[in-house]
Amino acid sequence: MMMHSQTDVEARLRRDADSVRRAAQPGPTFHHHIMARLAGPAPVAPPRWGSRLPAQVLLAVALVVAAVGVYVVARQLAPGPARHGLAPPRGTIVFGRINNVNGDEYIYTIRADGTGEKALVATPSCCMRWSHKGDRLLLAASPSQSTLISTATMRADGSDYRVLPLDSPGLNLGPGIWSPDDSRIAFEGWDDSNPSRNGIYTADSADGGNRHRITTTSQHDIPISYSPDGSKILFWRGPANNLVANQQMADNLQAGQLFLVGVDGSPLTQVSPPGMTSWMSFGDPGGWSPDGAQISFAAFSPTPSDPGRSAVFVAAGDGTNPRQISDWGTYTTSARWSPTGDWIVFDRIVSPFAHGFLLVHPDGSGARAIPLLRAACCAVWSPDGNRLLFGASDISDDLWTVQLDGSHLTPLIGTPAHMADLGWSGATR
Amino acid sequence: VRLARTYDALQERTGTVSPTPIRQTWFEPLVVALERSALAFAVMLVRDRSTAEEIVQEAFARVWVSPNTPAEEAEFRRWLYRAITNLAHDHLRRQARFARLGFWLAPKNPLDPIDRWVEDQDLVQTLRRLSRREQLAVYLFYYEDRPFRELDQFLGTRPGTARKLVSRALQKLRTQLTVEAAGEST
Repeated sequence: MMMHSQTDVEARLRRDADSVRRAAQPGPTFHHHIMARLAGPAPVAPPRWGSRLPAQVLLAVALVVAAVGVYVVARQLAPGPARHGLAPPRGTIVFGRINNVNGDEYIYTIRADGTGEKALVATPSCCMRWSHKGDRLLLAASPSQSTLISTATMRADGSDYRVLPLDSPGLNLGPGIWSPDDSRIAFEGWDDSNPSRNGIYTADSADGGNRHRITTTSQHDIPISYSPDGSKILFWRGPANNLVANQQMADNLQAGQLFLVGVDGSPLTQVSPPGMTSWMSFGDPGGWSPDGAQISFAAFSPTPSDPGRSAVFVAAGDGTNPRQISDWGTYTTSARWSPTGDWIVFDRIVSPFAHGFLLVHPDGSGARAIPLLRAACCAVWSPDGNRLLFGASDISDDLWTVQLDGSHLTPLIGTPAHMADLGWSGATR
Repeated sequence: VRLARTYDALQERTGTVSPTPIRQTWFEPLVVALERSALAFAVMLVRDRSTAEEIVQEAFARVWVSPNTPAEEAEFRRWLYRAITNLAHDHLRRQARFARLGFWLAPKNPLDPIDRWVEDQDLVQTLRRLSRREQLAVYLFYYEDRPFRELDQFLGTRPGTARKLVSRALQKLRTQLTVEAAGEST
């Protein structure tokens, strides 16, 4: 094997440098784009107290006299949130952050106004869900001395961490969903050595007792949400891969179908139209209307020339009569009903270079894109239905909130977060 | 400068007046002076013109909001390149993560000049295997034609260190390119 000479490598580098320089000629307006970005709503990053505190303290000391003057002037000039006619966002947001090279996800909460970021548990987890009261979270856990996955619950401040026990060897009970009164939890159950035990299980949220099996499958059944009256569960059924850890979910993207089942295990109703598929890998593909009368969801009907062909559908609350309410688009993975009931937010590729999201009324009218500066995925509604929380999928995976008209685009955190593992509770921690 | 920036940030947060006139006194000239080299650096790292533009814009935005960013050009460039490096590597990591999904990887703009390159793909892949520091040193030496003395200043290293860094990177490239060539011929 002949070693490349240094001269040869250097010549290749210089040729490549010429190509790079030719391709990187900035257009005449490029610096205006940069300056516009500074003047727009995006550039004010949230404070990162951990890394910025010393510099900020020094700055404050050095500028104390001037800062007081600036502060007074700014206070006099500032309209403030009330004068904008817009209250600051309220509640508490839970999100996951992959902050090591192994791809492990860790769980954090932050107030919706961008303050008070807090790491909740020291061990990797995922798949968080707020209770309906907003006082507790459920999330994935691994019981000590076990390689199985279980579910834990905890208070919103990270206290009272309880791992629900696994008392059946080999059976994982991964995190699922709260019942409307928060008294029960529906789990995704699976046994890698005995797939006949796979299915949805329910148990008391306090201690994991009073367990019932709801469905039976050799695939994976992942609960999405209880109906508002607590009588039914909407769930995703898909191929049996290890879909619990979210990174693996992303790496093992699989298409499945949506079903309804009664909490008493009554026969299944397929919600997604036959021949179509829904994705679970980027969060819930759908959910109930607030009154429980209808279900929204995203479904794929790919063609050889358009593998991402997908649209938004609405079915009756009993899972029947699905009807398409949006035009066909590309890579629509979710369709989520607003808490106020008048909008459904869904995602798709909105320009050649960016994923984004759109709003549509449940009857299919009024569809419009939310103008964003960022490519975005997987929007989550604020509890009051006035804002959306989303992860930017273009460069930095950071989190943002935005008003439904695209205004008040506000950075929540400036560090990478998991795009799909998000939740917004109305309770303020 | 810091006073101006603090005042700017206050004004932006409170939505009062545009801070552009203050910025123009010091920030915009730096943007104009560095946009070309910053864009070339980002293109070298990600090999996609549109993504590189996005990264450079984001890097300038991040440098702007940092209260510690120096206003002196050489130091400013160091901060800017560090931000570009971090953003580019985040992008490449995510690109690898989603590559199998065909998700988020929107089609490239067919008019993008970089698509018309006859790229030295082996070299591109081999460059990506260098450490961030080695990539930066190689870029500054071969793509910006800067002397080792400037590299040492830029990297904050003792005289002679940058030369060793480039030499080590070159040796890695030689070895890896030889292995790649052998793999292709078998």
